[in-house]
Amino acid sequence: MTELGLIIVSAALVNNFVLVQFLGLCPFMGVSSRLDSALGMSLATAFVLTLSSVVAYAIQSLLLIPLDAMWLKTLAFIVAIAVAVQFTELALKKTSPLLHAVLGIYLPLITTNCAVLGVALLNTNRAHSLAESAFYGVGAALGFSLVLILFSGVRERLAFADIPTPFAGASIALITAGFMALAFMGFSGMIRL
Amino acid sequence: MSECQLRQSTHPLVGGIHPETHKTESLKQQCMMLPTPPELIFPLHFSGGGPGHALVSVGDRVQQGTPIIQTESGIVHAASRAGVVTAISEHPLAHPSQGPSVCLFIRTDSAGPSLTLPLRSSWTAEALRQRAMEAGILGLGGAGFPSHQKWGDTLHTLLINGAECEPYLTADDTLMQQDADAVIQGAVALAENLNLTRIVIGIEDNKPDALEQLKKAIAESSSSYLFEVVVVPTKYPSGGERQLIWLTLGLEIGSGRRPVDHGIVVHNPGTLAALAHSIDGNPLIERVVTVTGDAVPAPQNVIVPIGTPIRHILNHAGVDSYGDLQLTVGGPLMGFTVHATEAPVVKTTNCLLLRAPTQQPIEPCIRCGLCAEACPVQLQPQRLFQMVSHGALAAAGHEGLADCIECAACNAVCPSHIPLASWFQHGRYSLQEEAQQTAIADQARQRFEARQARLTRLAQEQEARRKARRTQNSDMLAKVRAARGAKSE
Amino acid sequence: MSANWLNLVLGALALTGLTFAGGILLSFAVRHFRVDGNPLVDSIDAILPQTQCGQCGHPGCRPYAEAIAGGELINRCPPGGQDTVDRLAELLGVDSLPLDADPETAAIDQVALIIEEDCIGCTKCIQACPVDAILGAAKLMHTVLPDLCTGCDLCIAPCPVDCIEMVPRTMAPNTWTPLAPEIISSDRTTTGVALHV
Repeated sequence: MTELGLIIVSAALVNNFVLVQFLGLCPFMGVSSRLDSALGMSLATAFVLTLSSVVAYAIQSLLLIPLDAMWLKTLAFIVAIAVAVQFTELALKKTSPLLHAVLGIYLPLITTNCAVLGVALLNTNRAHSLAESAFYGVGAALGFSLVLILFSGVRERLAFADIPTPFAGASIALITAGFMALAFMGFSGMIRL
Repeated sequence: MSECQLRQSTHPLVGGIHPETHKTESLKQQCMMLPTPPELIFPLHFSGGGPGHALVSVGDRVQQGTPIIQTESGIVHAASRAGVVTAISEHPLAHPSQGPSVCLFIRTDSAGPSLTLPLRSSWTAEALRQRAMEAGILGLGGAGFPSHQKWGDTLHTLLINGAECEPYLTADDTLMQQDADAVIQGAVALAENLNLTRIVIGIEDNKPDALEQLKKAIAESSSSYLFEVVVVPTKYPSGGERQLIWLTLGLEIGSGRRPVDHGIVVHNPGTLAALAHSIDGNPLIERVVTVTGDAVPAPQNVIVPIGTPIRHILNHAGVDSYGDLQLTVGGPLMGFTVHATEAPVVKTTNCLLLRAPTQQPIEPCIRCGLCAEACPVQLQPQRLFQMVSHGALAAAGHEGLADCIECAACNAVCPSHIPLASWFQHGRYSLQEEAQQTAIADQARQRFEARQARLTRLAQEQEARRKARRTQNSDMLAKVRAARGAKSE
Repeated sequence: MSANWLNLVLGALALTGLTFAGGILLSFAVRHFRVDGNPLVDSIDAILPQTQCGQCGHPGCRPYAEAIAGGELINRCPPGGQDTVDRLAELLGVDSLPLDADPETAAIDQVALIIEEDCIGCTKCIQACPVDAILGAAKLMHTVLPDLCTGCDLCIAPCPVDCIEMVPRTMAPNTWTPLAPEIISSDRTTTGVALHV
């Protein structure tokens, strides 16, 4: 049981997907200018991450390994992720059309989010069991959400600040992200996994 | 004989500042009546109580006390001295907008008999409201809200605001020392007619003489009320309505709610004294004004007829040239700069402050946070300033901009000299305007949708009638055919 | 990695099967998550000023709101002013645009005024007013209620004797606007949000 807890903490903080492994930077920069859209995006990505890591494990163990077709894993995982993302988009359009309009193009772009594919492939690399895959996905989702929400809070304040012209916009956002990454390096060495 | 219960405040004020009070200078001299000026000026729309129209015409002779302006809210302004109406035309105002606006001019001459309001043997709440309107009584503490509009039927507590926390101001202090009897009489009259159960007086601890006079007046009063006198520590802005309610009663008035919603009515002592005088037949035609500042040779309080040009009062206090001195109407924190010294005093003018100009260069915000420590409403002025200056009014409203009391304590502590209170005044006005626009748009949408619904309904009814006619016709036709068929057989 | 043909074909078939399964699942999801109407339109309509004037090119505020939900430009409403454009931009999470109108005429708040000497009581303007702001009946005097008039000027054209004029709305004589203090010089850029002056 503690091993599963350690997996979550490791995926969320120590090896945070955005600030330590530098995956999934596209939605991180693109959706974080407002707190409400960041919250919506993090929920959507969290759902997709968890679902796709489980589905990827299922595909791998039920289809690819019996047929000795592990060389197809990237394609198969992408198909699973794409279906999950489309499903999420349809559900979101029904439940919150405003959020759907605000997230816009970034919602289908979760398909190409390297963090999502990364979780699926890392599960394979580390030969996680079903439970471990699921928890790894949950941990990655928690870490991604945490960082996205923190970053959007900071960016909302930056929007009203006196930033010098050369630094305004994406520049100060990236510098801030760099500082946050430095801060997250403080977690390294906490868990050896 | 009334009872007086004296106690210290047990609810300290959060935030606030301790500026130098500068009050002793203007209390040295005895407060006298100002000699009548040669001309009195009365703004039609800015005398308090909303837009107004003149009740007299050019050339009319008026007595002291003749009603001359009727305002939208029912408040009537009376001539402060006898004279002849010489003009009704535009003139600069002692107002943040500087005017000019339409004013009524009276050239004063020798006093004749004054016009008084009729005496009554007994009073009711409605009669008191009527009297307050006729006597032109509004909040003399600075806001100028028509007093009768606060006197509803659900009140239980009267709080007399004797704090006068702003530096330089000593007008209320002087009034409480000289006319404490009228203050207590006005309070008793209000309490008896509105069925109030509690009278509380809040007073700062730097006014021992006023406290003595109030205690004496309470002892000599013939009512049976218990007066709770709460002494609050000297701090700015302990005299703010909500701040004083917290200090004296320990009650926090929530955001968006008013003291009258909680059954509490707060009044300036001058307002209550004016009420007492109006019960004796005298409309509100004069008030105590503090004339002070480094550039005034003889700082003092003076009883001024309403409508006196500011210049006349400053001359009386020994000022003969203005140069580039800065005239502030009101205190150094909540007052505003006025450039035209010929502007007249109105009922809400409590202080004339003449000093050397104190403009300091404005620098960018350094996020020191001193303003957040000073704010008595526990807002975040540095955040609100960022949002308002960027035009993000909705965000500022979310952070509590509507609760700002514009006390300018944040102005006083800001090391960059940023005029924060002016930003918030502008922001609050813009928020209100936006809310009004939204309300107008909502009303328009409702009317549009109602109209669409009505037109659809009419069209449907017409269609139904047409269908009914057709069925009726075809039925009749069928009957006729059947009858013909039967006949031909 | 075995390179025999069977493995290749089986793998390809598996992938194809997987894709088909996903497609079928999605088709069920599309039917289940069908959206009727568009609640986004309500949020947009709540921001528009409801003058129903048609200056945006659509027959009313709600059709324009529906168009915006479908991708129409947000800066086509002159009565709303730059304020409305900015609020729409904030709602939809897009960058604000400058108002697509002559700023001088757009800014004046106007109401209709019927010149009573010339009115013939034909009720054509009453029928044209989208918010029922004109009081009157056949052969009787018509008058505009200024508090209800939104200044859309749809009543001007139908009047057969041309007796309606647009005049600036009269403000109460004691209104005044506290202006914003001077902007201190600093290095920041404005990020497309209008400053209220």
